[in-house]
Amino acid sequence: MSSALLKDTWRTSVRNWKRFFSIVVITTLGVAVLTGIYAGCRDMLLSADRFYDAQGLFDIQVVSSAGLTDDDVTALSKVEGVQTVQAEMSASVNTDVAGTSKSATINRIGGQGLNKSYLQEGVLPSKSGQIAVTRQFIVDSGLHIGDTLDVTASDTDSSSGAASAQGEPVFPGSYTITAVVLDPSDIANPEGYSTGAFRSNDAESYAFFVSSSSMEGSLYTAISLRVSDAEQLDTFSDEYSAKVQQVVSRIEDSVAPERQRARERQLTAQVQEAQRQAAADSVSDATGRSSAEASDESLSIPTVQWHVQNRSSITTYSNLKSDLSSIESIGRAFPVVFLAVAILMSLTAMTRMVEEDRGLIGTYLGLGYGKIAIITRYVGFALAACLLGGVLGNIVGFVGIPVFLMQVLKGLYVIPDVSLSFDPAYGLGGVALFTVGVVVSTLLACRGETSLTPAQLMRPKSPKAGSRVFLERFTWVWGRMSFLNKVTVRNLFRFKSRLLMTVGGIAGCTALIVCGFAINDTVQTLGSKQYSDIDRYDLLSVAASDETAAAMKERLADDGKVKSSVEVRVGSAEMLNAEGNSESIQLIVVPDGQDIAPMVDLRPASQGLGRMFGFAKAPSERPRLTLGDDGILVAQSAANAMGISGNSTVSLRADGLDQQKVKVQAVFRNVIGSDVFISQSLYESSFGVKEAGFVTNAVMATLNGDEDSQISYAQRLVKSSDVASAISTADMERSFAFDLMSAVVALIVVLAGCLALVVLFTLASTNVSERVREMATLKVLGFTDREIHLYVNKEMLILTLLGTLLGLPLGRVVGGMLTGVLDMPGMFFEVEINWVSYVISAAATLFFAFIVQFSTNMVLNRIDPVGSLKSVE
Amino acid sequence: MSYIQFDHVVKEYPSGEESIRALDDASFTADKGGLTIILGASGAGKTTALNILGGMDTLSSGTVKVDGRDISGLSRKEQTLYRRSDIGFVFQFYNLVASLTALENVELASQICPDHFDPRETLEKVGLGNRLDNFPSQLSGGEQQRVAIARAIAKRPKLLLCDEPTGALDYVTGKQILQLLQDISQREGMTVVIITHNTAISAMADKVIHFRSGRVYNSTDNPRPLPVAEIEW
Ligand SMILES: Nc1ncnc2c1ncn2[C@@H]1O[C@H](COP(=O)(O)OP(=O)(O)O)[C@@H](O)[C@H]1O
Ligand SMILES: [Mg+2]
Repeated sequence: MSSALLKDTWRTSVRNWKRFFSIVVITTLGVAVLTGIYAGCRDMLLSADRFYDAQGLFDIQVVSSAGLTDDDVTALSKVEGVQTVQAEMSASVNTDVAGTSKSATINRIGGQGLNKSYLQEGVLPSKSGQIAVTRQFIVDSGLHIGDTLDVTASDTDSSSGAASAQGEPVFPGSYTITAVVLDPSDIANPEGYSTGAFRSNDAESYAFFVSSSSMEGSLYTAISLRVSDAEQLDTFSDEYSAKVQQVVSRIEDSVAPERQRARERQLTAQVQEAQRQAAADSVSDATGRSSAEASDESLSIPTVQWHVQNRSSITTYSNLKSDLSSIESIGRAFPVVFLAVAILMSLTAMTRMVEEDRGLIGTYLGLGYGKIAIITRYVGFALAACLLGGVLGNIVGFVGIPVFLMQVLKGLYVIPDVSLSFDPAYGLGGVALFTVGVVVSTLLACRGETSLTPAQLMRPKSPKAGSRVFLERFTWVWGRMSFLNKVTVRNLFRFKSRLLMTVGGIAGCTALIVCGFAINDTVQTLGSKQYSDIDRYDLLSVAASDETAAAMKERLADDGKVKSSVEVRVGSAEMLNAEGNSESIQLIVVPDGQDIAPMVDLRPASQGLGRMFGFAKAPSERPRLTLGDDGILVAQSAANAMGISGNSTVSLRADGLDQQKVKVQAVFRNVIGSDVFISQSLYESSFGVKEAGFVTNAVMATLNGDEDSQISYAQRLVKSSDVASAISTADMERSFAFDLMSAVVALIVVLAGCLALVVLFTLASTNVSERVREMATLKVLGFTDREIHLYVNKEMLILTLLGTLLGLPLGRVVGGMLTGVLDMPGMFFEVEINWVSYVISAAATLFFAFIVQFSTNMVLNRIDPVGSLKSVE
Repeated sequence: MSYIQFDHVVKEYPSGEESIRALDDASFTADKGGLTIILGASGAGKTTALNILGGMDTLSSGTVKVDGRDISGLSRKEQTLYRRSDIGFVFQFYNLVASLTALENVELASQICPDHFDPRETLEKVGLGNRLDNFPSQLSGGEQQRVAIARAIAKRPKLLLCDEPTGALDYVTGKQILQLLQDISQREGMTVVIITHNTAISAMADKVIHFRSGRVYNSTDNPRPLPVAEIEW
């Protein structure tokens, strides 16, 4: 390029600052949306990964139904790919928390540096009688460092049989709290706002940590493993999962069966030994019977079952992963719209810029400058704008948005040392994507003009011909329209591409805003849908144990607060789909002959297109589901994420029972929680609990009194040591909030709003620039400023209204697709949009149009008729 | 007293440190109902003078009176209203609104003026009675200029100002346009000012004003203007 051409390029760019600005802002927004949500999630995940690695969180953990021994540790350490092995010892205890007995687990701090607790305050326990507790416990109990903590061993473990008592941990009953720690396997923020409402476990358990001098024994609760070279990998990546899965398979295939049999033999030997002892003791009085009894008892030795778990078994790990992946999926869905709009707008802006320079291009070509040199002018202009936008977008995307998201995430999860990071592949890739889009549109814009001969170019371009519009055929309407309205209609149809761009651009932005509100409205209504419409009970009271169930029921009956009730059995369980993905659920066993309908409104889940576009039958018009004996009813909120539908087969692992396959009778409409209903007969036949005797341990009840009295009744109830949890649905409904999602929504609405503003601005300024002569002519004719504003704005207003009207249903459709995008366990996104949101979205768009109109008016006022009409266009 | 009084008008354009004097103490007059032709080389200040006369530009010093009204100190808004009621402009480029038919282009002007000619009749007057519903793209250059003239006169203006109206037209068509303008002046009694650099056509005017370097160096009355058809150049 010659220096004269360079100089001219520079001047042109300065003159076209508005176009430059449009492209910069659109690219900034696009790159920010593309990278921001991703980067925020990635920063959080990387920080979590670093934290997990620093604390040596296990990659694999082996638990067994009959405890684990030193031989198991040795066997596991020999497995290929296993780096470190640590035997874990823990004990279930009860402790008094604010007047109620709560269950807790005392964990022995391991010797191999695995699963280290992160010290937040105090000194880690080193001597016997010292204990570290979690922040959650401090918050709930009101105790402090230095206070004394008493525990009593809970005698729940019955499944492992009498023999396993040998080698079980021995520990003191009283401790001094020396530290507050963060357990890497539970990073939920206890002081943050509650998001846990929809995924909290009814049976809450605290974790305590003691040094090895405080707990002795030879039987381990679990064995933690670290996999070689897994630490370098991102724990949330597929590579990591694959690497760990290899070792899991190796253990499951070879070590597990062998060690299970060995342990069974050992247990059998122990039982036989005990019997021999017993037989020897009673040999004098009943000689003949002992061998018969012994063979009888040996049958009762349970089969030993190992569970080889990976990190997914950690609740907060899975929650963090699913929370972030749901936001990330939003982050993936929206940039497409931004990219499309960016390409449309740069095409509009650059085409106009090249058109304006028509004569100039002719002159340059005439002077002998090559096409390439001329195209370079415009490509350079667009490229510079794009790159500047890209840099700004990366700053917003890798700093601004992550900082904002982390602020929200910090309320949910505690991860020490969260840090920002830049992902070159994503950051530069995003810029490249927009650059290619914009540059290609610029080349397209240039193609038209540069292919003409200089002579053609120097002649004015024939203005877009006017033509009759279809409306004129309706003479009745046309004849009644005022002159200026006719002009407006003509102009609308004259600039067809502008009509499409404007309507399309505005519809897109309105749809984005509607979408944002859709997420918000959906989250807002989920609570009332679940706790008022679906759950008809007011109280779910779960007994502390099967033994206290009777006392709890008696208490409920005596208090006289209960209107009607249904007794059920509630327990936590794991549900696995055909692919082996697991999810924790709440298993509700309905006693035979009981009708659950008065307590839970079971309706079939909506499916397919009707669900997406919001025209599915209202739930109350669908036929009610009744629980049968050959299949379970699964909550839609649990089924959706796992791809479970009616007639699927799933595996259930109820607490303390072996994993069993069951058929799914149907999926019922449920938006929060992971409830699975099973009939007593199916429960008994599947899990073989008939002999043990079926007991109900929970009561669903409707209550007298208003919501406040119901909530306080539940609070009083839970203080009883007979009651593990008493959930008031009124309380749940009130406390349900999903701040993370609301934050993302706010982000999207703001970004979409900015986009709408830039789109309107670009279109309006292109419109004015295309029609400067027309406006100048009107000025010469003596049109006042107001009349000219009206002349131009009427068109823009009509297009904006059309775009907005189109954008509202479009937003509903795109919003409906979010159901599929946001699949997280324990939550079903039944998209719901309040009419107020439509109004606000439309009003916001129109407000933006108004702002842009205002700036357009300024531009119109500045048009100088003398200067504008001097030359040929 | 003359209908148009252009009195010691100075128009300066700021340009860097110095300023360009587009009009440097220019003075002339013109009578009501007459056809005045302004002649001069390119850059002499003709357009500037016409724009000031038409309320499209402001002046640095001097006074301009039209029909006894001083228009030199008008505000932007007053200028707009002045153009609206009193001025019809015709340019070298016709500046028709492409999306409107010939008739509608004329209506565009007439509908903002309460006291206007009937657009249809006006178009008939300029010889386009049978092209009312054509769009500009369907008309020739000369026809487009006729529409522009019709649009300018439909407002019943006090002054019809034409800046090189034949600049983009061929000889024959240009002649027809000039004939039309002369007819308008003579038959309708409208005051017409035409800028041209074609000295030959000055014979058609009632008055000829010569511009040179922002000054009027010669102004001659022509008691017997020739019909355009009789002028050859
Ligand atoms: N907007 C402007 N800024 C600076 N100079 C101008 C401007 N308009 C006109 N001029 C200058 O004023 C002088 C007269 O211009 P103009 O009246 O257009 O001449 P004519 O119409 O006689 O060819 C010229 O020298 C021109 O360069
Ligand atoms: Mg001129």
